[in-house]
Amino acid sequence: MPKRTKFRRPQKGRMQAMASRGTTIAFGDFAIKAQETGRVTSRQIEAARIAMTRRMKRVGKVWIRVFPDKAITKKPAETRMGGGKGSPEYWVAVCEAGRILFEVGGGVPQSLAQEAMALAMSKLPIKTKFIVRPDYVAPEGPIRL
Amino acid sequence: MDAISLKATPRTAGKGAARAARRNQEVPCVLYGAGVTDNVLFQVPELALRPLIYTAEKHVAEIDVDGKTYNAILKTVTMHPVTDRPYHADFLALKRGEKVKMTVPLHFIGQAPATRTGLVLATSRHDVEIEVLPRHIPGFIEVSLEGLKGTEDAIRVANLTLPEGVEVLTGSDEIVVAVIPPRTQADLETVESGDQGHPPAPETEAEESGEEG
Repeated sequence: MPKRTKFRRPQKGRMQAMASRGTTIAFGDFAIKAQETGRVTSRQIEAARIAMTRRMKRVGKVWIRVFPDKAITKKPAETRMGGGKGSPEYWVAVCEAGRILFEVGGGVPQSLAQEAMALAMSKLPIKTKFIVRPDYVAPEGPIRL
Repeated sequence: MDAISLKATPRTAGKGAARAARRNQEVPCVLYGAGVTDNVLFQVPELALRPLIYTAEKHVAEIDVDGKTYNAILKTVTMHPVTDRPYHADFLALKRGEKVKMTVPLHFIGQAPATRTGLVLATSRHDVEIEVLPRHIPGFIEVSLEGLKGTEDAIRVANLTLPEGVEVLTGSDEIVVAVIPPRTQADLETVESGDQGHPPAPETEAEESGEEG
């Protein structure tokens, strides 16, 4: 989440149907791409990252391409309407369809990346898919895991 | 480097024609560059374009539009953000004796001795920008990993062995591939205990200036 924001309670906003930026792999060889628009919370991003890193153990590198910069407010339970907007409860990243969420690279074999990313995808609240860089070439020689 | 032949159909400009092409499993394309005064608009079957997109080699395309043949390279291809199908392609026409700027993929050859000792390779660049005459266009540039033995070893753009007639435009100091240490046990333990708590509300600019009530 951000260290400092302009306002404590942002407005709800409307989500776009499709992403126009951040839709191609920029750093790694494999990625998770959003297939529908939705909000991903900071906890879900962290859970997905942990699941992926735990499966890959010592190999590879993970890039997180989304940042939870939107605070979501909530009024306390059993509170009557009025009295102003609730307090920030959690943070989300608004992810449009087509947006790259995570990338993996650094010599990870495709099979391992796919397994790790499947674990990460199960932690996310939106439909996603696994993609490979179009010009990906598998590295030569045996891979130490 | 092999040339790939494309049988293209001319198309009219505008989104209506482009959408009609996409409905017929074809990709709207444009060709411009050396020796081409007006942009040439055409469409090619999506399947015919695949060998140019999903490849780790640069190819020259011989595009036949209405009986006229152009030699060109695939400059950029726009993919649909969600379906990842080719949406539009730009071709850059080549002219004999005229240099062309383009990106060429890097192929990593061999196995780095560093990886045998458990170290990890971090690849920073998958391609480099070059300037070259059409007859010298390489399919790819080979990068030998044999010299990477320990941590802090790296291959920079300046260390690349270039084919004949190729001039690199990418900064010579840029790192192509480097050796980094693997995650330690302490790193893995940190991963397990990732921050799961509720984040605190941050300071706001508005509070400082007294704007927000």
